[in-house]
Amino acid sequence: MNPLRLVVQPQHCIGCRACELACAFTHGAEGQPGASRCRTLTVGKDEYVPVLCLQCDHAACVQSCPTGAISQDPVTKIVHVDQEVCVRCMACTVACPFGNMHFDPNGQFVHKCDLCAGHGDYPRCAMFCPTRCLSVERMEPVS
Amino acid sequence: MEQTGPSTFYMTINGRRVQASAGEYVLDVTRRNGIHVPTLCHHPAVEPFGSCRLCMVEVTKEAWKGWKGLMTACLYPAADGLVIETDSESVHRVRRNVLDLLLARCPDSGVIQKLAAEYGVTRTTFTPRENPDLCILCGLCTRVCETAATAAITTAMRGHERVVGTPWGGPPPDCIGCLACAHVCPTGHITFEEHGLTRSIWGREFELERCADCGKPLPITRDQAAFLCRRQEMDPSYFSRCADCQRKMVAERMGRMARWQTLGLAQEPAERGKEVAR
Repeated sequence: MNPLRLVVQPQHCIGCRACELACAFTHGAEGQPGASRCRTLTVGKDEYVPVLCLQCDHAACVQSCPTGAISQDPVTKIVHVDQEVCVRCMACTVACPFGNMHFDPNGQFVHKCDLCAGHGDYPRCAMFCPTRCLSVERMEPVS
Repeated sequence: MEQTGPSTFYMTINGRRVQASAGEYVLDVTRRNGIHVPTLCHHPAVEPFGSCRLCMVEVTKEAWKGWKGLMTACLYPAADGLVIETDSESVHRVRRNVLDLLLARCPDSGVIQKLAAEYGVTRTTFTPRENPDLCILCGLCTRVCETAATAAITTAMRGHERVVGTPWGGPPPDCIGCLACAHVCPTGHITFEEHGLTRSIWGREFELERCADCGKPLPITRDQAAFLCRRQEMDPSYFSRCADCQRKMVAERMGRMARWQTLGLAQEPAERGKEVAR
């Protein structure tokens, strides 16, 4: 099966932040909501843009990691952080050119959008988006 | 999803038949199968070292005719037909001894106290060290520094004088202030301070990198940014802006693209795009 891809169409965003809530509740622990991996920014008057990890090939976070804790899955093309290997040097949070590597100051770990891998394997933000600003596609195989 | 090949085989852990492959250590196999083995000096980012001696397990094979050995799980290679016990009486006895010694070395460490209490050791039978600190000399910090940074710290001296330290005890010249050592330290012996734009660790002060747009301090030091550019072969521009400013930049750009999309233009006109969008 081709890898999933999250499609963001900011022209449909109404700034309801359902995606942020869906993300926080999906990635919470011990009954508490976690920090959202999705951030909806207000750019102009009534213009909102949800900013999420783009799951880059040759990603800056992967390249900057001195311990090789961040890697892209060869099948699903999702960039994962291995929390066990991470030494919290914070290089990736600065290196990401899109600002999508977050640091949780309470739990002391870095986290990023992994398209809800291990949480249903289908992006929860897209499920809860009322306007299809966030939607999911299967990627076409690159010829 | 079991795959068997020439490099995969089966071994027995606590009476359970588990799969393992060549090149793995016993600890990797127990971790993968959810069998708890306590460790202090283990970190998947670095090679196993076997200095804390807590991951001792009982190893035997049917062909060994009843002979059993106590081995460190982190350093013992997985092999076909191994029979491992992780919670037998002899394993617990040796772990109690280790924790007894660790408690004599670091009586104030909460981590050691908690771990020792789990094995029924509430107070050490040895004479506790005078003026104790929290260092158990596991060497994890030095190994992580070697792997992820510049090998700025190392163990110094021999015997009971052995310490984790910097060259000649002074501020380490090679340190980049990445705090990896402080974050991996199992007992929290290595401490650092951060005030505004300065971070101090190992008796040396580091200046934090600043965001080129908003001027806020970034969570990495100047030396660290230079090191990452050199070692990971990255452009210095990757380490010049904070995540907030970068997100704002992306959002503005995507918002502009979305505006053109609503106007029915597939792509923003390359030359005039910026002026018109403003």
